[in-house]
Order: sequence, then structure tokens, then C-alpha cells
Amino acid sequence: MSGLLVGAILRSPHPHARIVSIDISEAEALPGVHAVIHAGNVEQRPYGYNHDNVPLKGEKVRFIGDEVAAVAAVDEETARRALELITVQYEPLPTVFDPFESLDPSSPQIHDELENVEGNVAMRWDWDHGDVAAAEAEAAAIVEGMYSAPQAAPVPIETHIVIASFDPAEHLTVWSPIHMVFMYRKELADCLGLDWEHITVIQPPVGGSFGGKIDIDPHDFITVMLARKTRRPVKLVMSREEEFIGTRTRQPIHFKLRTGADADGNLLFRDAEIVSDNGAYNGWGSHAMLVAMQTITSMYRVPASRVRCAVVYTNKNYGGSVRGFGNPQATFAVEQQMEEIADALGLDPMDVRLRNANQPGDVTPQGMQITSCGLEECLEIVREQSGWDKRRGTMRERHRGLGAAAFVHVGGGARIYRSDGCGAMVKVDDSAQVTLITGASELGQGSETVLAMIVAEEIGVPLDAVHVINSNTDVKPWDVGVHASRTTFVAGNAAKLAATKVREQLLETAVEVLGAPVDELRIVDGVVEVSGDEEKRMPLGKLMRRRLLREQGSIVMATAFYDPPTQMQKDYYGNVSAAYGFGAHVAEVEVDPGTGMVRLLNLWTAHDVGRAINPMSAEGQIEGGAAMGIGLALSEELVIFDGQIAAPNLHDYGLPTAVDVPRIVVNLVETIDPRGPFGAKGLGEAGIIPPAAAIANAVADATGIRPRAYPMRPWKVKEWLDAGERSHVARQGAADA
Amino acid sequence: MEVFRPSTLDEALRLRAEHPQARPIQGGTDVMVELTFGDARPEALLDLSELAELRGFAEEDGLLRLGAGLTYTEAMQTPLASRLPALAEASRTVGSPQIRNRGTIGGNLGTASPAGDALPPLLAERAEVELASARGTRTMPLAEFLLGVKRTALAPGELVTAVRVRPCEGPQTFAKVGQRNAMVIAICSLAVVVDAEAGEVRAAFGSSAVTARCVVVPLAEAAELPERVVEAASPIDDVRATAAYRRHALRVLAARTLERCLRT
Repeated sequence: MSGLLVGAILRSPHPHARIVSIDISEAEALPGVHAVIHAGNVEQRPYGYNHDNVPLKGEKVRFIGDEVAAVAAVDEETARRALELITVQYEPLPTVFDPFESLDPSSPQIHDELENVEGNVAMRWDWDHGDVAAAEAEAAAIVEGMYSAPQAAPVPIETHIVIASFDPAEHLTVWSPIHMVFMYRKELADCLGLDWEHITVIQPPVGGSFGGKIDIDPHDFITVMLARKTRRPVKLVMSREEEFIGTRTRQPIHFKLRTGADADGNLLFRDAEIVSDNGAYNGWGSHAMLVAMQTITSMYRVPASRVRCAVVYTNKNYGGSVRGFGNPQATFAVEQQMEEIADALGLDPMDVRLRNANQPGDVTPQGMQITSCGLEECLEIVREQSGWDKRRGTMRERHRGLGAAAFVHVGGGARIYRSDGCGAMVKVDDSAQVTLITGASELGQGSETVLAMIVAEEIGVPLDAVHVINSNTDVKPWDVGVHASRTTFVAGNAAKLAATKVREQLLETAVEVLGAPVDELRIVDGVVEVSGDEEKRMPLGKLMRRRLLREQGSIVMATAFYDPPTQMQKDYYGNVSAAYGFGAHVAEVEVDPGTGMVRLLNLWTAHDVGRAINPMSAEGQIEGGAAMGIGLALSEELVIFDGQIAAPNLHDYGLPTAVDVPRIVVNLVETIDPRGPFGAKGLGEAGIIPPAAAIANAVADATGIRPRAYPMRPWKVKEWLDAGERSHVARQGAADA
Repeated sequence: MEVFRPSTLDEALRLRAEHPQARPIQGGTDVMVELTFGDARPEALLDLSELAELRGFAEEDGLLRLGAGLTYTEAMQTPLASRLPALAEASRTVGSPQIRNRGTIGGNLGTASPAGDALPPLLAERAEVELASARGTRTMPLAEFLLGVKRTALAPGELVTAVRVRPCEGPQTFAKVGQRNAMVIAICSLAVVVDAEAGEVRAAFGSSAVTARCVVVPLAEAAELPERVVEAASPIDDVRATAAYRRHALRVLAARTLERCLRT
């Protein structure tokens, strides 16, 4: 790209400070510098939920890493040197890092400019269903406790990178790894005062996202601003350190949870007080409560539930939309209490799970309509494979234990926007090459393959005849984006609908050309066959040429738009997804009682995937998700001291290595969902959800202690061992009580 | 940045004297990290990786001379691994295979990080460091060479050229606690050597004081070792663990490694 400049961002070294002055004169004077921008010399509008953010901060900074200024220069070294020449005077302000302290009205106000924000509470999520007080009075056993999840990061191998370029006609092209391209385009336009019909977003192959590339971040806007100012294309690449500090993380959530059951183990209520540590601004992470709440109200049949949740600003990096989206955190609390309450009642936790398992046809208290549901089968499989009945509770002398956890997660899209749809276009050319142009994005999750398989199957052509185009907003039809495990289900249904129309068009021509009735025609492996007449078979290419290359010929092409039959939630009620995925894991651990080291020995998993369209990639998704879940459980944490991420590097951010991940047994349970394409449900996030809870339960079985937080690092486990951290049983029941 | 690439030790020592600002670099597993993060911006580098004199190891009259360029991978292989098993075990815990192919014993000494994995086994073996300069060669006990966090007794103009060890006949082993099972900086580490000839047990630990440190107890009082190790440690709270946990883990590692050695 000729004339490409390099962008770099000056970030706040203070967790909370007023910007007194900014002097860019020396930086501007440095040879090779083409632009130095800050809030005082650019056009920008507040963006984000409740408009609490702005790309370049003018008044004050709210966390270490907040964007203050940016430069575009001829190369990276010049850009970095220019940043050093910018002088910013700050007036430090009192800080608050702990979300519980932040709830205190006397704590420093982080968004005092927002009149609709009370204290530091960015949002509240409150839910009541059934009579919790009555259920509590009736309960034979009640367990209660705090469960905490830390700040973690999605850590894609490829860090964020953006290139922005205006052509002479003022048309903006942005190359970005974002996988919500249409929403991205609108947000760029709204914030920067651009016409969004003059923006093209190109999303090239992405080196991993895990949700970290869903949010639009300040650096996206800043890159465009720099390109606008310099009239040159500008590239901005995050270093690994910046990736940790300046892009979105998984927000910490603290659950104070109570679960009650009757003497037979029937769940009676769940009662949760939740504090979600938002960080300095609202990102998608602020909405992770949507999913966390579903798990509290709807994982198993729970007749009464109450949720009080505060999403609280703190002077830290803010949360985004990381794989699992609030569910690993909620499941960590909910599924530990399933085993705690079973133990309190003297019942087997698997029996208690099965007794309360969600069933096909259920409508949960939040209005989730469960279509297919393989939860029972998943539980039975991992119970059998792990030797649960013989081994749980018997291995404490050897410091070994088994623990289980199940999950529910959206598997048929998630209506978080007015449309949850995806468009598809399928065409067949004169060579019989089939092209699918889909709204969905590929980010390494394998959607190109799965969508091509759906089209190939539906039309009746070999897989390698199908090409997938998905990268350019000028070409592809609208889609919300890749999130919520929705691509196979939503984009798959759209592709399937378009492919059906294409097959019908091809068969119309075949009727005409081959002179056979349509019910005697089939397309198999790219060839039209006439039943009972071997002589009349015709390859699709030849058929296409017969259709096209003649007077009044025509092409074969069809479009479809699939929007799942779902509703936006109102007061947290509504069927947000057209299908739900379920699954269960059992973990086996060995705990070193001396050092507190937890070693994961085995992980058995069973996932209700509806139908595994591509079994190998389905297994890969589950294994990869489980490996990430193991990292959360045992070693991943952004340790923060006084608002500073202590070690923003891959050495100390404990991603699991090959030797930390045992062989993962994957069982694919096929329930053939009535709404899914060929019965498939989404599973992109599923694998990451249960491991932390299952491993915590296994640690409890091995040691008798009750883990209260993840990651379960050696020193933390040792503390619990020393302190004798146990289940808090508020009311003790027994099966015969 | 200027890079000097001597091909003989004499040339390296001459360059070392002429360019005192040049930072010696061997495998680069420490220096390159500092350069990448901008923590160090030396005017020049003195690349020692081509020096044949620093490679491999030799044995004479029971005295092993490990070249400063000996890699962790080499320390893990026989016959060296059977002579210095604790060093071999420690080497297996360093980084990834790629890092073990590049990283060297001499570099570990030169960096002198309290977390240097090769240091506890060498300290427990009473290793001596061989230091060369244009003025000549001297040796000093490793324990005296390590002065503080990334501080050594290296004099101007000197390079670490080798480590000299007379391996004990008795059993020895190494243990380490980290936040995961591979590619970790030690939360704490410990090597134990039973020196039957001298009638003593020596334990050296890492990541729990400003330098790796060695503790000695008479064989008859071996049971005292864990407590003595904890007394000698002065760990801190940091991103990887707490001081209290480190003390505790050292006690556990010392008791375990001792039991493993005395049982055999």
C-alpha cells in the first residue's frame, strides 16, 4: 500500500486523572511525523452504551491505558519517539479499583459527567421470579457462598491491527479483524461524523479473536482519524503489551449465591447478588449479565429465582465480549452449588442434576423455549466414562477427586439487536462452481467449511465445488456479526435457504433439458440424475451452459435472509435464541497437598450439538474451548496492582501449555434440533463454560475444601487448605429428613 | 546498535576490554527480551555464540568444566545428566525446547536472576565460576559471584567462560513450583545434594531472596534442612505468589527432595 503511515497511541499512565494540558509541538516538529492528534484537534462524538466513552480523552482519563493522543509517522520508531515528545500534564484524582468499594457512595465518581449514572453503577440487572422467601422456608437444605472470577484476557495469537484509507472521492476503506462489520461501520460513522454509505469494511482472515475482536475500540476510531488528517493510509498494530492493556478483557464478576432444595434434591430457588467489575467504560462485557442471569434462572429447572446485579465502574481496563460471555463465571458458582447442595442432602450430585435437568419443550422462567435438549444424555455419558459412581468420594487419600459441571448456552443465535439475521447469496456459474456469499465472518472457527458443507449438501455438489466469500461489506449481505455461537445456526440456515432455491432453479432447467418430471430428478455429486435412466445423467456444468448460453438465457442465483424466530427480551423475559446448547464435563484432578498445585488428569466432555455438521471441527471447537476453560480454571489472570496490569506479557499471563491440557474426551450428542440447519446448534463457546466449575468440584472432592475463586493457583489452593475453606451450609438436610 | 562477533576467545577478551559498554550475549534468551521491551538499549552487543572455547564440557581428574556456552539441552543429555542430575532436572524445567536449545549456563550466571534455574543445582554442588579477561583467568565460588538481583562480581573486562564442578557421589535432585506445568518462571525452586564424603547435605533455593542461596547442614542433622532453608529465605510478594506461600513451598520442597535423596 503506497504511502502507508504507522499509527501509535499515547496512553494514560494514571488510573484516574484530570488532563490539565497537552503540548504536541515537539512531536509535530519531529521529522517523519505526519499528524499528532488529541481531543482538542479532532472531531469525535461520545460512543458506546450510554455514550460513556470517547476515542481520545479530553477532560480526564479513567484507567491506565486510556487513549490520550496519537501520532502517524513514516515508521514505527519515529511514531514511538513522537509519543515520547508529547507532554501531558495530569492532575491525579482519587482512585477506586475494588468494585465493592466503588459501590460505596463516598467513593470517587468515575463518570461524574453522566447525569443518568447513579454513583458508579453503570447498570443494574434485577430479576424476580416466583416466591423465593416461601421456597426458602420450605427448603431442606440451603447452601450459600461467594464465588469470584478474575480479569482474564482472550489472548488471540494475532494482536489487533487496523488499516484505514480514504480514496480521493472520500470513500473510506477499513481493513479490520472486527467480526461485527456492519455495526462497526455504523459506529465509525456515528462517532466520526462520516457517511456510512461511504465506508467499506474488509475483514481479512483473522488470527484468532475469542470475542476480543467484537467490540469497536478507541484505536479503531483513532486509525481512521489519523488517515483523515494525513490523507494517507494509516496502519496501527497493537503490541502484545498493548493488547493486554488497551483492548477488551473478560470482566471480573463476583457472585454471592444461595441455592435451596427439598429433601429429595428438587431445586427450590436460587438467589444471587452479583457485582460485575465493569472497568472504566461500558463495553460489550457490561452485558455479560444477560448470559450469567440465564444460567442462574434457567440452568436446570428452578421454580423461584432472584437476581440483584450491579455493574460497577472501576479505574481499570474494561470488559468486552470474551468467549462464553459471563457464562464460565456464572457456571462456576451455580455448578459448585449443585454439588454442595447434593452433599448437604447426602445425595449424589449427578442424581440431583438429572432430577432437575431441563427437558425438551420446557419454557424457562425467563421465557427461553427449549426445543432439543440432550442434557440428560450428556450427564449420563460423562458419568459412565469417568467411573463417577464408583470413584467420586473415594480417592481423597490419594488426593484425587472427580467433579462435574453442566451448562446451558444460546445455540440458535441471540437477539441482542433488532435483527438477529444473516443474509446469504448463492450462485452457480457456467463451470458449475458454486459461490456462497455470506454475511458471516470467518475468524478461525471454521465457519467457511461448515457453511460450504451445508450448501454442498443442500444442492448436491462436492464440497470443493463451493467457494465462500465473506470478507467485504460492499459485497456481502447484512449480518449482525459473529458472536453468541450463532454462525452455524443463523448463517447456516440462511445459506441453506438460498441453496434450496438454487437447487430448485437447477432442477427447473433439468426438467426442461432432460425432459423428465421433477420428482424423478436428483442432484448427486454435481450430476443431475434421472431415476431409472442412466443415459440421461448430466453434469451441472453442462446443464448450466444449456441454461445460460442461449437467447434469453439466465443465471442461477438466489438470496435468502434468515432471522431466527426469537424475541428481544423485555424486563429480561423473552426467547432470545431459537435453540439452546447443553453439555456436561467431568474433571479428574490430583491436588498436591504440600504445594497446592492442581493437576488436571482427565476431562470427559459431552456436548449436545444438535447435529455435528463437521464432526472434526466440532470436536476441535470443544477441545479448544475446554483448553481455554482449563486456563481460566488454573492459571489465567491479569494481576492488577493499583490499577496497573502487573505483567502484560505471555510469560506471566498463564495460558495453559500442551502439558497442562490432558487428553480431552469429546462426545458429540446429536439431538437434531427442529430449527437448526440439518438439526445443528451453535457450539463455538460451549467448551469453555464448564471446566472451571468441574475442576473446582474435583478439587473439593480431592481435598474437602471449597474453591471460592479461579484461577486455582497453587498459593490460593494452599490458602484454602490452610484456612479449611468449606461449603457454607446454611441449612443442613438429609434424604430422610 | 553495533554487534561484535568474535570468533576466538582472545578476540572476545580484547573486544571486551576495548568496548566496556558492549553487552555480552550468548543464547540471547534474556538479552533479547530486554531489547524487545526496550528495558535495555546497549550501545553494542558482544556476541559470544561463535566461540568454540565456550562450548561443551570436559572432565579432568573428576573435575568437570562446563563451558559457558553449554546449553540446557546439552545439560539434559547423557553423560552429563548422570554426573549432575539436579542440573539436568533443572534444565528440563527451563522454558520451551526452543529456549533450552538457545539458553546457556553461562548466560544464566551472567544474568544472575534470583530465578535462574541453573543456579540452585550449581550452588548446591559448590561450583566455581571461571572468569577470564585480557589480564588472565581467575576462579571464584559461585556463592561469592552472585551479589544481588542481576548483580555479580564480574570485574571490568571479564567474561564468564566456564563453571567448574566436582560432582558429589551422593544423590541429588531439583524441584520447582510454578503456576503451570511448563514454561514458567519459578515461584520458588530448590536443589538438594547429599555429600556423603563431606558428611553434609546442601540445599540451594531460587526465587526466594535477592540471589539464589545455599544452606548446609551436617548429614546427621538433615531433618533440620527444611527449617534452615526457610530461615535463609527472604521472599517477597509479587505477581506470581506471596512471600508466605514461598516460605511454605520451600519447606515442602526441601522436605520432599531430602526424602527422595535419603531414601535412595
